[in-house]
Amino acid sequence: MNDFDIHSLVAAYALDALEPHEIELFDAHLPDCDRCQAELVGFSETAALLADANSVEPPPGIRDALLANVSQTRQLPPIVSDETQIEARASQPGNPVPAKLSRGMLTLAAAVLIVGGAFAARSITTDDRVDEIASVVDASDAIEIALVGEQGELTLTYSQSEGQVALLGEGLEALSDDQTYELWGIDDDGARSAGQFRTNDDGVVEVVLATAESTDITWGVTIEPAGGSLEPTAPVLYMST
Amino acid sequence: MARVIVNFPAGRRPKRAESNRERLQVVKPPRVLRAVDSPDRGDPLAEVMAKCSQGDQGAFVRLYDELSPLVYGICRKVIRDPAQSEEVTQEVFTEIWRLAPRFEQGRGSVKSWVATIAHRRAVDRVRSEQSARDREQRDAVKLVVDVSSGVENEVEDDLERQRVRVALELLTDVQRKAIELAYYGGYTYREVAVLLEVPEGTIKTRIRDGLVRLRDEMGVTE
Repeated sequence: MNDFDIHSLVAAYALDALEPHEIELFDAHLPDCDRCQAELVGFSETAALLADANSVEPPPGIRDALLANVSQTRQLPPIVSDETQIEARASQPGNPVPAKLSRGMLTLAAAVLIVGGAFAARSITTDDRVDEIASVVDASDAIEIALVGEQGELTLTYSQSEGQVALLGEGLEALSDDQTYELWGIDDDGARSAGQFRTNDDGVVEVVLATAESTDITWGVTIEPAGGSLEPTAPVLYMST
Repeated sequence: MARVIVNFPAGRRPKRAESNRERLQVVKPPRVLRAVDSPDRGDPLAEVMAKCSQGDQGAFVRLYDELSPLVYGICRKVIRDPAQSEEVTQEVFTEIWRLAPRFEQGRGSVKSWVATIAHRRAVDRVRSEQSARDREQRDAVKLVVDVSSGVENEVEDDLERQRVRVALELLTDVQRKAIELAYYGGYTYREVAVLLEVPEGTIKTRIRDGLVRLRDEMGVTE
């Protein structure tokens, strides 16, 4: 695209009318552009008026269900910001979103990223990753399952309502770059991949994977070539009992 | 069908890992309470939002009563199916409850924050469905008619809502249709371009021009 002007995306962004790759581009651009931030506020207010003009009373049943739900839902902690963290972030341009955890959660807990304020950022920050794990583990329907293997400890927490599993563990073998751990949901129909994960250098695992699996399956973990496999190609090293 | 090979050492007693909930105790970030500033004078919902962010469920009920027609209205417009709209409305308010401590006063109104979350969720819902991806043009045509003819159970027009309708009438035909298809229809601007048979670049510009016009007509300040 010649003459591509990222600023020109702000109106369509405010209406959620961008293509996914453009959303990514704009999300990356927004924290650094005062002009787009200011425009987005105005356009978002305008969009809210469009929404307001089409208000429809919801059925009364939602209210009670929601309140019951909320009383069991933990709120996220507020984002804490200070100059040091802003500097730390500025020193790493283009890398505001760690793809995976490279250190233990303890160090991670100290590193808080500031993204987009009121703009309900889509990006997963490390802080959100902690919350993401918490949202699975704290879900009212969370089921914890030990995955038993020879080396280290690995537990899986599954929440059907969140559609996610959290995998936490330690003492696993740290793999080389051309290998990955892969989680499988196994039943009579075979094994379906529930995603791949890696450990940090110390063999610690802290990940959340999305899954549509039901509860009555067996979970297994294999080591696969980097990029993962369509079906397990190696022995199952960890398995729910 | 995949054949799964299990490789457990025979006779070895399975190790019970430390509970994930126990681990999380270590993992949770320190809770630092944010000082809540005096709420913005301009935003009628600022105070109730500040209370929500401190875990006040009563305040959350007031927020729900105030904004649920807005959220449900967005869902009905974009998703259409009433059952799914109810579902997404619940998701949206649960999300609002969870995110409340992160709402920043002074960066846009509570209403616009809630509308943003609601619209995103609604759009995510229709875009994640294959059937929605392949919606045909006749749906779009129907939608445009819908916008002007109104929906049942619609909340009674107040002055502001009437002004929005009047402002929409001031837009050019393409501007208005593009904005309605994008916002109420949940289409991307590229899809809108196909539906209206207008080049993509033009649609992007029309959406922007139209939104600027609406913003100025409605007296929205940045």
